[in-house]
Amino acid sequence: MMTNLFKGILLVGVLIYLLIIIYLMKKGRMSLKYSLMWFFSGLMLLICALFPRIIGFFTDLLGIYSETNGIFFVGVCFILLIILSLTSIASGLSERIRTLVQTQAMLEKRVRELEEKLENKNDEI
Amino acid sequence: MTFICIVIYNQTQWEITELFFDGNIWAEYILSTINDAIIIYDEEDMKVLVIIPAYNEALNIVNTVNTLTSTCPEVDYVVVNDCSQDDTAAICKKNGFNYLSLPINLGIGGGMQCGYKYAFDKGYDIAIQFDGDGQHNADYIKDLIAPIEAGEAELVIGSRFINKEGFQTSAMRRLGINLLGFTLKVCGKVKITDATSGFRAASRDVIEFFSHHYAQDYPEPESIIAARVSGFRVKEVPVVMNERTAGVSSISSFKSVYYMIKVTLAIVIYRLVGKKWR
Repeated sequence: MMTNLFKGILLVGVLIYLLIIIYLMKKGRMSLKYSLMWFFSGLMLLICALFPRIIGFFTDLLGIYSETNGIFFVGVCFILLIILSLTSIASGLSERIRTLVQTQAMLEKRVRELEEKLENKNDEI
Repeated sequence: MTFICIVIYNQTQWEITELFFDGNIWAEYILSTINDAIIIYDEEDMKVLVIIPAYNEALNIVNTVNTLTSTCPEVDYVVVNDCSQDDTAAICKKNGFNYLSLPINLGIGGGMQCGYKYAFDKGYDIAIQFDGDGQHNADYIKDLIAPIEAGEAELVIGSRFINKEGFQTSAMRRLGINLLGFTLKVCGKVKITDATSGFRAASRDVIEFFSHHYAQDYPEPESIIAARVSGFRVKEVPVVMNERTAGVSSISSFKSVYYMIKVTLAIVIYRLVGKKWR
């Protein structure tokens, strides 16, 4: 059983959380691709806060003592998923940076050699 | 590579055909099928690039490059300056070395991969990793190339533990290297006595493979299993190594236990999830 106080706190917290996400998206500080999972997790918590019956059904099914625990469980699951996806995103980014750096180094070498060649030619003239 | 030029008399005119072969099987086949042909053989040397990864090697790099160019004047080299803190880049520029300069420090893996990419772009047949700290001896470069030219292997590792000559490193490290060798033997079905050796030669196919996939943190042992899983043959040849003349090794004693666990895991995981290339 969820107390009304906790229900209220959860509701307000989730609303603030969703507002921050929308704010960040609006400002362009978070790309849509990565904001979706945060948004989805917020929506799930909102639904749980608004309709505790749903979470009650699942907690009974999974053998969790109280609805509050169920909410925490859902939250932790989402956090784990999001962290995992962040690691995968970070790996992808470092891979891209590496390729970029290597290509840049080879281009820098080409430019340097071309400049030297040009200088030598100018000296001859 | 054998270069064959075939000139065929085609009733009214001479036709010149140029063909390149890796082995002589095709050449013999062509010989058996063509009657009135003049065949000129020309044994062309393989293009060899020595990649010298250098991170804060200002004290050693001039010596390393000069020894290399005087010992093996027929090979090209490229120094990969991995965003050194000291004036390695300035020294390379001043001496007119052939060098690549990374704008961000990528570590030995990223630097070497850049060298392999360069080798692939420039069409080299063999790439040799040769450390910039004076540990490796340029006299043995020809020994590393030989198995690739003979078609015996695609990746050749220079091992200081086969003949047990020269600098042999500490007992603890040898134990670690033996453990890695055992892991590689189990996972890669290959006998490697000096898994951490950075003195190695790669064929054209391996150059292409490494330019796409190369282990990043401590790449020497992991690249061996990567090459094995990808279907390449790995061979070891005996070399003699020197103790490094200046500077510090990339693996400190504090990190070595962590290093061992990490590399062993990396080898096992690569064996489990790695795929054959192409």
